[in-house]
Amino acid sequence: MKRPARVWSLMLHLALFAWLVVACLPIVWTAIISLRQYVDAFSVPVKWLAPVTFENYSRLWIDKAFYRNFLNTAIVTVGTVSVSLTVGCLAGYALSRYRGAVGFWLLITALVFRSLPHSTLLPSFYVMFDALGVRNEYFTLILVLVAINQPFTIWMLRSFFVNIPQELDEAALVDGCSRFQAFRRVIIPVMWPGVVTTGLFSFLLAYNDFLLSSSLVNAERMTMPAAIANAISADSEAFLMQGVAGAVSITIPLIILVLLFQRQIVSGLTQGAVKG
Amino acid sequence: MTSRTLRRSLLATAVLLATLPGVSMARCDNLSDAKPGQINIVGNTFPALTHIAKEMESCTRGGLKVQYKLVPSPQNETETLQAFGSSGKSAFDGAVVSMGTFTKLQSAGQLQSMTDLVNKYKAKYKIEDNMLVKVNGEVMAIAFMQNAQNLFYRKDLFDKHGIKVPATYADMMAAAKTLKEKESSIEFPIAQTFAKGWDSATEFSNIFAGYGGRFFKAGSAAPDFNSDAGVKALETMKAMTAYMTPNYLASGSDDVMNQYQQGKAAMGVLWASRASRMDDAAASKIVGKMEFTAAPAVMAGGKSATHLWWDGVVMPKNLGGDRETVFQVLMEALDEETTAKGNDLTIWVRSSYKPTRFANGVAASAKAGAPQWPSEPYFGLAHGEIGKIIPDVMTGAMTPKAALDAAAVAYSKSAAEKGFLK
Amino acid sequence: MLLLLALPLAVTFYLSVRSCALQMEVVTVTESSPFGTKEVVTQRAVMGPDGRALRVCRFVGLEYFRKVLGLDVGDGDQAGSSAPPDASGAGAAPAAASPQRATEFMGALHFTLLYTFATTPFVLLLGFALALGVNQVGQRWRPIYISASLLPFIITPVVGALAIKWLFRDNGLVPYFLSQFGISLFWMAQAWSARLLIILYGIWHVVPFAFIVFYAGLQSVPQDSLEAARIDGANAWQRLRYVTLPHLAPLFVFVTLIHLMDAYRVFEPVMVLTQGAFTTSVQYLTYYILLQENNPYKASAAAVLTTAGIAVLLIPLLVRTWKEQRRGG
Repeated sequence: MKRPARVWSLMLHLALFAWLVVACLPIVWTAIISLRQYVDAFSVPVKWLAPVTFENYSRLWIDKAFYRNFLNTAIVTVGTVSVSLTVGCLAGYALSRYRGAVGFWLLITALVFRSLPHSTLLPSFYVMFDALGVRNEYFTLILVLVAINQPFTIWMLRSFFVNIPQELDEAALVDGCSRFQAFRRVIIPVMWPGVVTTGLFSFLLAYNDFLLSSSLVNAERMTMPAAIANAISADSEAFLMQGVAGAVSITIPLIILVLLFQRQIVSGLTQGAVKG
Repeated sequence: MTSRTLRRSLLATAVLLATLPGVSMARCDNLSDAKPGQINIVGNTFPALTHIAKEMESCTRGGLKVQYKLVPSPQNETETLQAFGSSGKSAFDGAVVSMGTFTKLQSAGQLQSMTDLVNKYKAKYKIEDNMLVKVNGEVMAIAFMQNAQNLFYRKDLFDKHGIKVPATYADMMAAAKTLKEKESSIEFPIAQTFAKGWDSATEFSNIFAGYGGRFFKAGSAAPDFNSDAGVKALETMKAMTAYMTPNYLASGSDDVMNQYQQGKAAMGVLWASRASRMDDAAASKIVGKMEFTAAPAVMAGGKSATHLWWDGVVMPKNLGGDRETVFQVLMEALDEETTAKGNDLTIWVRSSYKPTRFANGVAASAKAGAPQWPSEPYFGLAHGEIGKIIPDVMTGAMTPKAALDAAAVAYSKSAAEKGFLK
Repeated sequence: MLLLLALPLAVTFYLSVRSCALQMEVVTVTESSPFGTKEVVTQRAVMGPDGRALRVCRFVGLEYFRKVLGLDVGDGDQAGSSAPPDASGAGAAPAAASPQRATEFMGALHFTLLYTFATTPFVLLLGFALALGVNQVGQRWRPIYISASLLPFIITPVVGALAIKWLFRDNGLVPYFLSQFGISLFWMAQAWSARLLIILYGIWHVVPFAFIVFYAGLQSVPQDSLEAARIDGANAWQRLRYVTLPHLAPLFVFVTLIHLMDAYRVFEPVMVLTQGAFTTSVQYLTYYILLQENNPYKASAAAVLTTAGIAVLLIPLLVRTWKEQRRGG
């Protein structure tokens, strides 16, 4: 069975490679044109080779102080993920110890809120936050981002917790730990990959959000996607090129993160989501 | 040290400081009675505004901080309307608005008069009478730039094929036909912003005005744009699409600019504020080849089919900051120094502005009788409804008359919602 | 925290049945600008005693709902008195034209559902095929394939949509490539290609998610069942069908559920790729009404309808899950 297996393997690699090209081409092309001047980037006909320049990046990061947006994104994302996971773990753990209909109702809530388009909440947020005077603050944005995804987070974490046998709790309690200590010392290490996976969803939501971030905060507190979304529909092509550079800048940390954490993601999903 | 030496050394220091290159005084250094705090201003993303925002970045005197939020339209209009209309204090102390937004704010009574402030600081900031936008004598806005859509055309190609500069839309289409047949590098000679929604509705408004059409019945908010002039305007637009890229319904200003800059289109009516970008080698392959003139009329001898716009600064009634400080900051941002430094970025209202060839189109259009953009507060609603039906007319799914009638009905309903129609 | 979600929803419900307008009066004003001075007859809000405009808020019930759904075709004719001067086509034309335009919510819902149901099967199939494929290759290749495959899913949707836009725009890479084969296609110029483009984006964006879930699932297929099947003489296809697929069935449901919810919220591709020409989604419609028409009340009505649409979408699935719950406990 040697020869057919080799051919088969080659075909498989080709097919997978084709998918890779399709998956990566848009962002790779964007990266390529980000290193060009506008006249070459959007040239008609398409230019394959063009002079390379870093001016879009320098203009973006230095002149437009994109590093501030990067910092904002970091603050908002770290805040959202940590609050979201903390609340989610505690709630998910508590709820996991109740079987029955709880799971179902939680699922419904999670689904409904996850399908809720963010723009439907926008007018009321505008009004409420303006009235309270907390419109342009970090914690407002963090709170909103946490709240939007919380039902889903709780549901996901709960389904991970459900798979951990109660005996583990009991054993820890017998050994003299309080409920909370049992939770911290025994349960969490076991379901770490599950936490990572849920954290990833939370992270993506906070990092990639642009509708809420661009509406609820002002220029200096804007996160990166919000900042470049504005630049991209702007009325000058200098802005456009900076937006292109920004798009690539936003994606790079994501790529790095995926490269680092891909094994945890897989094992986390294997553990938890398989049970559904 | 004798007093003479002291004076001389002080003078020397002063001279030195004044002549040191690149050392300009930080902005806001000579504000009178400035109260500390943060001043928030919202505005569009035009190059001129980015320039102004950058100029004001060094404003940090005595605890004062100026923050510009630059947002592309239409979001900047929404944010301004939202902030100025909120029942609490406005999130923005000032806004840079276009005429259209100004009309909406003014009719809702959300702007405060700046007449006394203008009188107080007129000399200090050299505020010119031309810059003042007054309603019944009260200064409600201070305009600093003008804009209009005028004709861009490739002089080199026109000369090459012996085409004269188009004076009417018929001329324009004839020129487009010639270029399409004879000039191999040009496949779609006309590029204009026909994108569904705001852009195409503005095109309609321009051409409609050229036909002498009236949007509303005299003295009321009742619609009149579904008249013969409206039908003719739509027919003219449809005829033009034969010479445009099939993607015209998605062509916004950026796409049209790209077509010009890449040498793919040879003419069209576009915003004068974009003109200077034709000559930047980092963005354009046709440096120096594009010329500008008045927007064509729809019939020989008619007025230029376009509208004149201004952009200016306004202050809200529900201002949270200190009036005098905010006003001074706004005037500081629009002073002669800013204008001089950004001379080529737009068409400034100030007399110290030195017009470049990019401003030819606006001047010519104004001279050829172009009216200013309609200032009725309900105009925006009509504009919106028209923008919705244009794609159907262009693709032939609806006849112009039926589409305009439908838009008129829809407009009447939303005008009634807002209280303009009883 | 639930309060933070429940409260805005309540506010939205409240807003959707109301309408606030400024009271307008006709005035003649003298306007002067850089372009000259003129007298204009215009309308201006009536000022209250506090110097602010008088707002008149009233309860309008289902009026905005009917408007958004296009059910108000009949009512429009009372405004007909102020409508076109030539009465000859006036009555018939609005009635004929409205169904096409006024039903924007239904159009948006239609496209949103089209997008959802067109992308789902491809997402599941391609995701599964990919998972199987990656599962077959050697271990050293996997990290690369996995990481690269995940890219379309983790990219910021705005960035992803823009990247696709720049590939498919007039004279972009893809049309250029296609033109080499003689196919000339302007993607954004007609309805079918614009919609296809958004659907393609959707598939491109979600396949990685399906892939990673199925791949994880494949790692946990019970090896002894597979062994037993192999011993029993089942070939690869049969093993797939009788052992692997049943094991992965819950995952298919999971991916479908998540995708349905996310697809319902589709927004960025519609905004970035077409700006609403030829395609609208329910979220884009609410956003558009809020921002372009600047009518938070009508937008709230659209929002409520959108939320109701979720129920319609999810009910069949929830009923199934409920039944499973009762069975499985």
